Amino acid sequence: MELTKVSGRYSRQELFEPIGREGQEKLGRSTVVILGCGALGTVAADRLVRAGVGTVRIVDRDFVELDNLQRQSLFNEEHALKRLPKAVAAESVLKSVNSEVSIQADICDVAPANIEDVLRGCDAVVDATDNLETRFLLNDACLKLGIPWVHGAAVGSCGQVMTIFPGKTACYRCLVPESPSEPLQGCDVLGVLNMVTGVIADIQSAEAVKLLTGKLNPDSTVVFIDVWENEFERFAIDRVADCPACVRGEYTFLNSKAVSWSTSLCGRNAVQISPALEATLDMKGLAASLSRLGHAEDNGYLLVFNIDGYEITIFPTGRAIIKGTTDKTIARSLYSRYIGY
Amino acid sequence: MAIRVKGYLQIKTAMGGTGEVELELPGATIREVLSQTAERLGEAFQNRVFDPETGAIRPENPILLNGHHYRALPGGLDCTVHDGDTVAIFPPIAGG
Repeated sequence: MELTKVSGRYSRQELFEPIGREGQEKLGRSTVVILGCGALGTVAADRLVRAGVGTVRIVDRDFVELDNLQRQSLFNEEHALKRLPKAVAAESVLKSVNSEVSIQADICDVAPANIEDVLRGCDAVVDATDNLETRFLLNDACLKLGIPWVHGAAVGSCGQVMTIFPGKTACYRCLVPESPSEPLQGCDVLGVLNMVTGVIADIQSAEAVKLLTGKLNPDSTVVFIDVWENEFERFAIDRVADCPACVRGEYTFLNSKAVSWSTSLCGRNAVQISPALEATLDMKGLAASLSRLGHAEDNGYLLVFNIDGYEITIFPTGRAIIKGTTDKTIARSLYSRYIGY
Repeated sequence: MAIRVKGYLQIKTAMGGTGEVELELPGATIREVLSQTAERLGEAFQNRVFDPETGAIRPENPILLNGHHYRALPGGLDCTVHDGDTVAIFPPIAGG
């Protein structure tokens, strides 16, 4: 490669031979969805925006809180004080990092009703979600749409990465066939180190760059890392002959007709309730009526309502995060009492 | 040579110590290796790997024989394990 051809923002990356100028141009024409903008998503979004992926769509349902700052590296105290939606805070930071990239913030909770619209047209997805239900849903949607995705997850000092290429590799349900019968312990019980989320998100980002530049060799392996014990292992996950998702194409989670979608949130004593169909709430009217019952505050993106020791954060689409419980029944009850449905 | 059983994350905690045991079980299946491990290690491991109500092996934990998921092996959990083999169990990870 002639040195005169190498200049500007991506010069160091273009000098890396497997990418080169051609790979850089492919990145510039690519669209990636970062699904979730927490510990993994902030790091992956940062890497891929700096690497020059043409369009980076950041999809997240949540807002910034103080206990995110230990590991969610794009956010600062001001974001937490203002309770900014994570997608919006990440977009504002990353736009000042690379104005050449189209960064799209999407304050959205993916559910069976909307995930195909969220993912359609993208070249790859980085899984930065924080629960198994959403991963099963993402697996179904990506298989159906033929979109490759990079699974990543972390807890404690451990994490794993697996790149899933529809039709070529094992899928997530070849690895985990169904949800555990009991809630899975997450960072709220076991904690999590920012070093492991950083390493995992970096490997995911590298996988995404390989994938987008056509240099990925799909090999159905899970990389497992424990940064505390310095363990680095690879496991082969062969396609399961009767896998309900990637072989039989049943898409159980995508075809779910649940009237609402509730999930316990990682690292939080909280449950999220999402109506199956998005609403358009009258936020000012709701704030006025709820303020007669407890403290209610609207910051332009969301409404925070405190009552009986619970903190209920309500988004204009009807989605709510109920903090103060991990019991989905209690959360649903509070939701129907104060928001409706 | 023996069969090595290795646990990760909560399985490692349930196994205690280094999260590894070695068993002399020539000709045993994956299922038998896990039952013997549970017998040796006790309730914490037993309840993490086996459903206390049905006694069946919990489906959610990926269990790998020499790095290959049992679901893709001939016979699945009834696949025979040989001396020098490693059975690894690691639960799914939710966080991100």
